[in-house]
Amino acid sequence: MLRVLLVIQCVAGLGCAAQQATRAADSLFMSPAAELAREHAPDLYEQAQRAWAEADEAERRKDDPAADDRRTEARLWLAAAATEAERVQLDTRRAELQREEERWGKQLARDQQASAVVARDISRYEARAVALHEAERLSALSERPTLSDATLDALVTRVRLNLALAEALGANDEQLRPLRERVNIIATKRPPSAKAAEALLLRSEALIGEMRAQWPEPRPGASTELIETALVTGFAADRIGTGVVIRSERFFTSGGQVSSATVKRFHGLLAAFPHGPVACQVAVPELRSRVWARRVALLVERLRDMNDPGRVSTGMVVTQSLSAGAVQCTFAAYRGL
Amino acid sequence: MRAARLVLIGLVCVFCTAFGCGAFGSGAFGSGSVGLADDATSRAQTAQLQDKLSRLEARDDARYAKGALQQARLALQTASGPIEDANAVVRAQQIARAAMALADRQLERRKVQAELFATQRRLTAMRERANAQRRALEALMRDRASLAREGEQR
Repeated sequence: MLRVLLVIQCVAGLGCAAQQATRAADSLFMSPAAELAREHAPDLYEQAQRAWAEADEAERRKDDPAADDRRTEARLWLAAAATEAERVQLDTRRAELQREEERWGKQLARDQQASAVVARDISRYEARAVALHEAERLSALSERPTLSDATLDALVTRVRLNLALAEALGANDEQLRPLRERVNIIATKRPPSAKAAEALLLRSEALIGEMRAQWPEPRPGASTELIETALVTGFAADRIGTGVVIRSERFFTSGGQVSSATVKRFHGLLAAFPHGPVACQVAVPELRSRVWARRVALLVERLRDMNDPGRVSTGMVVTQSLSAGAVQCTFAAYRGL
Repeated sequence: MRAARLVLIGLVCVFCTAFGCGAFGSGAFGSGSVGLADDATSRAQTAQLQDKLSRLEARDDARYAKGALQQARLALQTASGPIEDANAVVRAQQIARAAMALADRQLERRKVQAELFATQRRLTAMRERANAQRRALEALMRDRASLAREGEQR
């Protein structure tokens, strides 16, 4: 019994000596920061624990300087471990942000690319709108009592461009000189009436057609020229399997009359691209409609009012893809060029 | 005889409690004498630690670990003094090691922190640019749709 009591006393004595240090160790090693340190920097944490254990031993030996040194060392290791844990967490956060930055960067790049595509589409739509406006202004010249300076300048520029194109296509000086003289006179005298200028414009377009007509069939690249010319004269144009299709919903006015301006532009296009037949379809709500039959008959009459009346054939079609009154014409000879 | 054994156990316990011994201590006995070889090894280690400290102190960002470096310097001063207690020298070296490990981690943490802030700034700028671009794209798409509708009516 006495032996048991002595052993208890012995253990209790050792326990009391270590109790204070144990409490300090608890507060030091059981903190949330120490938990993180143990998780993220186990090697440094272990060093700290080892030093603390050595401090405990020194304390039990009553070697105060050694205990103090070991505790200082333990605190430093633990601080290093906690700092390392913090570094790891910061680095993890940094990597997350970097990934997020990359995601935003990819979205930005995609949107920039898409914006460029959309901006190009807008430019094309706007160019078409401007071309249509310009084409209508020029084709409606004879309907206006006076000719503005801006319109006259645009007209003179276009005639000169047409003459340059005709020259490139093979027009000789004899063909070109009289037209150049006329355009110079118009540019200098600036007549108030549009008739002379308009007639000159049509003549220059016809000269281009004459040059193209010398070839037995359209030359390579002619379909592209047709599409571009159609676009700048206010038509929608596409290349399809059966040829080049041009479209417009302006052949009829809102009142159902045939638009002289549009027909005139279409005649200019026919003159400039003289090869092959042209098949036109007029979209109508129903084939038995008398109103639309009358309108289409008037259009056919106007379209045939040209040098080669048999070149253009016109029919009616009921389709959901085009609105009533829309006309689409296929230039079959320009297929696959 | 039995009583004498019990008294002996009691004395051993009291002694251990007072001075720390047996299984709980390893440095109290047998380490009092330091030979010439040990002395040279110890000085070489101190020199190595001194060299490492110099490298840390030479870093551009050393001021951000001033406290830990100061502690390492003081510990190395102790370690490089006259060697009377070899254990004290070893402990001073260990403190220097721990202090330099702390300094090293503090500097690394600061570096990562600076990178984190830079990344945060870049992310904010990138997010703003991407949002602005998205708004611009949406506006462009609306314009295009409107122009396309107008074009269809021509």
